[in-house]
Amino acid sequence: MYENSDRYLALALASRKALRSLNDYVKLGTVDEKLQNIFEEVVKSLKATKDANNLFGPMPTESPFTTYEQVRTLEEVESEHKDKNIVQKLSQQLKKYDSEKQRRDEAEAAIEFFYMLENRALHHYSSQIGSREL
Amino acid sequence: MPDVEGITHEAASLYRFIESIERFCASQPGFAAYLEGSSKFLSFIEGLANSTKTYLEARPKNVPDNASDYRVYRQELRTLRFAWHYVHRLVKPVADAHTLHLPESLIDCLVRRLRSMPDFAASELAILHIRELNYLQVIAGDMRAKLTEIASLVGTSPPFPPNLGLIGIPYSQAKSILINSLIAHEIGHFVFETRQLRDVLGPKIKAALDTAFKPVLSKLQMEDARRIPGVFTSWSEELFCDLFAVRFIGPCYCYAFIETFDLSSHLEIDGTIHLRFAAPQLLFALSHPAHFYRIQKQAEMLGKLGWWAHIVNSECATQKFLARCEALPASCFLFPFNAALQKGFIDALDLLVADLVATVEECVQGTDTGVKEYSRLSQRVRECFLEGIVPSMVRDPESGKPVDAVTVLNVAYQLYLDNLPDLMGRILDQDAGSAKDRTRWTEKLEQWTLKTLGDLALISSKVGA
Repeated sequence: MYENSDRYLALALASRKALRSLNDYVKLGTVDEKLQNIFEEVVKSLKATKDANNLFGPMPTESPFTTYEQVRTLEEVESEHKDKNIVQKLSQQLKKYDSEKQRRDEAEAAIEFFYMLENRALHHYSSQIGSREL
Repeated sequence: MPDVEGITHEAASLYRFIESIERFCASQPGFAAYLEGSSKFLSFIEGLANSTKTYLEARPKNVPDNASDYRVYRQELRTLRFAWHYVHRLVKPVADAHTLHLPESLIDCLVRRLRSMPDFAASELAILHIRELNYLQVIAGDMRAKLTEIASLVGTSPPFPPNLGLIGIPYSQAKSILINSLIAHEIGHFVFETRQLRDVLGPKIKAALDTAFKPVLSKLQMEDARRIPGVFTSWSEELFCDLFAVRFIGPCYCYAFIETFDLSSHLEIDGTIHLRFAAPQLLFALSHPAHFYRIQKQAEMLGKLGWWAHIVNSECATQKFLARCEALPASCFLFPFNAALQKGFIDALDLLVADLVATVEECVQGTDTGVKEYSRLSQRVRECFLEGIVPSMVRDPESGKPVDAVTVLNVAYQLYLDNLPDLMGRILDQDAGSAKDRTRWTEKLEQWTLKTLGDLALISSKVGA
């Protein structure tokens, strides 16, 4: 019952948490600490995969962005994302704007990234569950 | 144009699915009771189901009308559905594991021992039945994290019970007290998660890998390099849990491990291990270290703790196997990667095992190993069992305290391995060469053990009161 597929579910749930917070940012202008933590964890993992001095990449931790399966999924989504500077964007704090339109523009790339990440994680999760149980 | 009808349909479908799971959580009047931890778990799921249903009821009223938000909104339900697939896997096995189908006294004594450790005074365990004849699976911190995420997604849900661990045991083994010593390994996983040891050990694992693989970096493929940290972390967790289990309850854990996998059958006619024929047992899997390696580390731990002196004279195959594994050379173990990396793994494990032993000791600090008491009381407990007497009233002549569960479990297992024919020899018409007769007296021994553990729990609660 403790399976690799569960790591994809953890990734999907973490992505959804980010999407909820991003929605609050767009609608209400609030930025919660959890969202910034998620951004930091994602950036840290993706940077670790590109660090020439760190051959082993990120070490698995309690974070849902650090196991082999999770990092592979992050990389898949990063490579397919239309914004090639997504890592850099997630590295920056979301700016505080008064208008919802500006906030929506500010968060657009992150929303699409986490939407794709959740989608991809659910796909991997269901593929593993489906191949075993159906 | 948002498809409100489609969204309502999806919400209703999930609502129905959740109700079908919820039914298994409801207490049934007159039905068997649950461990307190299991009851709390089922109550939590019931609360989570109610919150999710309330959330689903409101959902179709808030459909966004722009394309981006709509896409994100629709996917949320899919995440929630898959999350409930995960819950679905947990609920029935917990509901099945009521106290009629559990070694309750054994679990009770293990929980009391766990609670004597720093930071675990309020710990509780929920038990579930699993189909596989395998204890070496765990649902602990990851489960807690996921259920908490689901709860936060649907809003007002009661929090997941703090200090609650979930442990799986094979559905058929409720009465097999001795084999259930393997539960100690699962408690190790609970400790590992609760103390967040993945994060604590991460830098040490990284340092061990960097040091050990430095000489073979040129042979390391990128794909292997990316897999190794996760695989090595899994091995580290399993080894931690083995070492923890040995520290927690002593040699009976090693005996149960060897028996479950029938490992002593690898002994040759001269009592040795033939490395070529035993090769599959020397190979590490991606999720677990090789069986023989695990036994080797368990045997070393028994030596460190002082248990070895008390079991070394045993003539049973299980003890011989332990001794043989301890003597295996590190170079005989094989790894599921390029053979050129073998030395890197051995060196990294060598670097790490000392840290794991120290971490186990840090987790259990203050908890008695049980070795001294075993040396004082094991003979009296054994005599009781051999006479068919439940040894609940054996007391330490020095302290006056009742015998500890660790002593009882280890004496029972040692007697099962060494002295079952002696026990049967005292009974008319019992044949120690008959599997059927041996089974009968093993069951008797386990019943006496369970009764002793139950009595000790009563004595302990009386003293506590």
